[in-house]
Amino acid sequence: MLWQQVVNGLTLGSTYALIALGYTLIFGVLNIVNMAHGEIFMFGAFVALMLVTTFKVNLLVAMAGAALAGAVLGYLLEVTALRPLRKRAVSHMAPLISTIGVSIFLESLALNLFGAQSQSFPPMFSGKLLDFGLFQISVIQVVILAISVGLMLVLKFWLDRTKMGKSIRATSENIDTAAILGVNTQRVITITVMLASGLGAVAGVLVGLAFNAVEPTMGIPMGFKGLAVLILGGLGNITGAMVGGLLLGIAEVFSVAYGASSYREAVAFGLIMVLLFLRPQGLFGSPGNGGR
Amino acid sequence: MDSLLNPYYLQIVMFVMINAMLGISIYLTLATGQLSLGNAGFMSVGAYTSALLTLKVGVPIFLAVPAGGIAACLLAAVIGVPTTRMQGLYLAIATLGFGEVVRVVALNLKVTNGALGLSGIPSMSVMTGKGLSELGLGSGVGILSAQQLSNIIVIVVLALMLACLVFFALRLSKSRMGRAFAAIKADEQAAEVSGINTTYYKLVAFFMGAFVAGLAGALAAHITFYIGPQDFSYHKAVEILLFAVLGGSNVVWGPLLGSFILTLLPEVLRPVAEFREMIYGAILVIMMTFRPEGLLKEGTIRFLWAKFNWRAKAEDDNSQPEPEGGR
Amino acid sequence: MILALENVSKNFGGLAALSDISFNVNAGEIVGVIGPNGAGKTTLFNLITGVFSPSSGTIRYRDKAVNGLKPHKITELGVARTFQNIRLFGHISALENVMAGAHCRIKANLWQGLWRTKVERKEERELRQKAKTLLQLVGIADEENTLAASLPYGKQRRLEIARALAAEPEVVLLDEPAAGMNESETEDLHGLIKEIQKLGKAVVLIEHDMNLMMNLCDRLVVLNFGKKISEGTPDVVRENAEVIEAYLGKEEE
Repeated sequence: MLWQQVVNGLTLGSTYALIALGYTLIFGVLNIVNMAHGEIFMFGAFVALMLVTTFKVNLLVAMAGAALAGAVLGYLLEVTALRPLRKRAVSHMAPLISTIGVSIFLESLALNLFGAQSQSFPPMFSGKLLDFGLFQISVIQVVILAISVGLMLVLKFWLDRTKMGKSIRATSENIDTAAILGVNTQRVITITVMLASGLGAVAGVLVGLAFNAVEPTMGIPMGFKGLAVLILGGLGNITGAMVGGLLLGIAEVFSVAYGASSYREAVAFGLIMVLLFLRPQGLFGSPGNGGR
Repeated sequence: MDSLLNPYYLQIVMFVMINAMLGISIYLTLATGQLSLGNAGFMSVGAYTSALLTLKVGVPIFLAVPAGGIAACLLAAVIGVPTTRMQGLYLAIATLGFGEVVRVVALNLKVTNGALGLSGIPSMSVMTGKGLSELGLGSGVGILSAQQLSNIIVIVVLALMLACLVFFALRLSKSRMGRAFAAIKADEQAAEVSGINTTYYKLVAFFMGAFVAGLAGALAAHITFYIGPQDFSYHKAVEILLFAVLGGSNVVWGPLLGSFILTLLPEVLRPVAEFREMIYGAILVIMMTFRPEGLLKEGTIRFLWAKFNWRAKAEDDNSQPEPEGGR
Repeated sequence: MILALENVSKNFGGLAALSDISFNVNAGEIVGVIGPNGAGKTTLFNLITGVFSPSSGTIRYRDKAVNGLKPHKITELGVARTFQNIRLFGHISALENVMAGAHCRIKANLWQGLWRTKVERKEERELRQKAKTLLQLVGIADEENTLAASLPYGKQRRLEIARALAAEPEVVLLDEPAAGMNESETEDLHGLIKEIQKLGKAVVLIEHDMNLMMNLCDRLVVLNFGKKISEGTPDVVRENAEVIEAYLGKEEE
């Protein structure tokens, strides 16, 4: 029973981690919270759904399509709502507000395009459970875990080893220094936003599969959870986002299993309120990061 | 006359006042440069507190409404104490999360009646109507029916409360505390080394905003008969934010103008109602790009003041900004 | 002795920004802090004003240890400062900037402010007068209604000094006040700092203009790579070989 909950928690948590990675990548480079991330996530789910139902492509192709659509949306977000604000000295709240604008724009657009009702993916996998003794796991859970963990590993490798990855990390460290060292920061920012949005879109597909529901309003609660993980793991901390996401997934599954199922949506923020009291810099931040 | 005083229009007027109060609530917190996205949550706390007090305990409305404000203020302490020590982003996210937690709690508690919400909340105009008939005015006065009369009385009461809040905000902005707020908004660290206890004032501003939001929520509950968890969602929080972003948050008049425009806009946009949220979203992005300080800023107020000085002087001297720099 | 640093060190993530710094500031004295860029001068100011707390060592103001106090408490005790990169309250007027600087010296609470009680009005009147006097002292009396952000650079520097003085400090810390000023403006600044000294205040000054420092300061403290390498009157410091090598020689270009 316990192991079963842990496995379920990890599966759910791996999708949260993927969402939170998008927030934390953008925060690292731009020092802003992208409030539209949840809606890009939701669009990703719809694009994959359309590809699967209308164009009958297989799931992996649909996911690639969603990632592409997410990246395009990320590019549009950067050009319309972020870049213009960097050109003039505005308060640090300005990007937060403009991305909130994009978020409700996209949500309403989705309502008009796809309708309010919840849609689901056609059954693609057998409902059979694979029995491992301690726990059982469904094929769809295996797919979700494999894809999200795989993407996280690829991302980590890419950030650590490639030139672009190193540029992103340098820019996260200090944008001015990176610029002096010859990093094209404008390009790094654009690519980071596109990458984060692409990841978010894939996460949308996975969550759509996990809950077997895709709807225009799914972006807000999922976006909130990503934000909670962002704080949980420490702003801009990539490892923190991964571990924080898994922890949140487990915490939620346990809260459902042990009674408080209807409060599941509040677990994320309950956790961060406790955390802010005890460890304001996040679980993995060093003291002082949370200061100012 | 009758068509102008129909209940629908009167209700819109009441909502203009409530939204103006919400505009002041976000202004008070923004006056220290802090962004609170929890005003919808505080509104919800105020609304439920006041509604439950009147419905289940039988507390009179005029006591239940301030109690709603106080309840919001108490919950604000839970979020404010840990987050005002940190950079503003934490407050924004924590308040956003707070709104969500409040919604989930209201959705699940028995006493709040879950997703169905509370109905049959004692209404201010009905109460006023009862009072009128006890005074023997049950059949109305002159051309006004009793219902119109009681609605008008409620509007007058709301207008007086709004006027008090505006007076409060204006006086505040010209006082020692208001200067501290402005200093923190401009440069928190410089304010701190100039001898201003920034953590304390940020907390005070946050409490004030929460109190006013709770008050407005409580009043809203007693206007509409009915409240439910979905009335205070993320979208309401964004709408309140929009008041300040569109109108401008550097002067009290900014959010007031913003709330006025945005309460009447849906009436005008009725034919394209399904695009309302898209328009709101676009307004946020466009304002941030082209006029981040909002429609009204200090300069605008000074300019208008200079232009209409003769007329403003003839009116009330107290509630107008002074020529040397209304804020 | 009004301000004393005793073996003060500051590390940032294992990197020593300042190590084992000790020196005193006496009442009414002008002390200069010099050293190449990155020597830790601004960090020193941040420690004294409580923006950072020292990793080890003690900072005393009038024999009271102030490490760990919040910056606004330290200002209230009597230490005020300006910033290397000017940090004014841009969207309020010059006069209001100075009045905000006097925040810890006035008392009116919210209630008094709301009703404009007699006490509050008197206090505000006196404060306004005091702020005007300070603007006059720094020579920008005619700009009192200008928004701080729209003042020209030199006047912003002066306004920042006026704001610091409004807190009625015993010690004023000035971080590169002459940066970006031409010769005659620097000359005026020299006069202004002398005026501040005449008010009985001690001044601690970071500045790269050696001419100004040699003429103005009673004493100099020389930092290099986070360590104090010399201290004494300008004449003594000028003769110190280590200083010449570490600093003066390099700065000539």
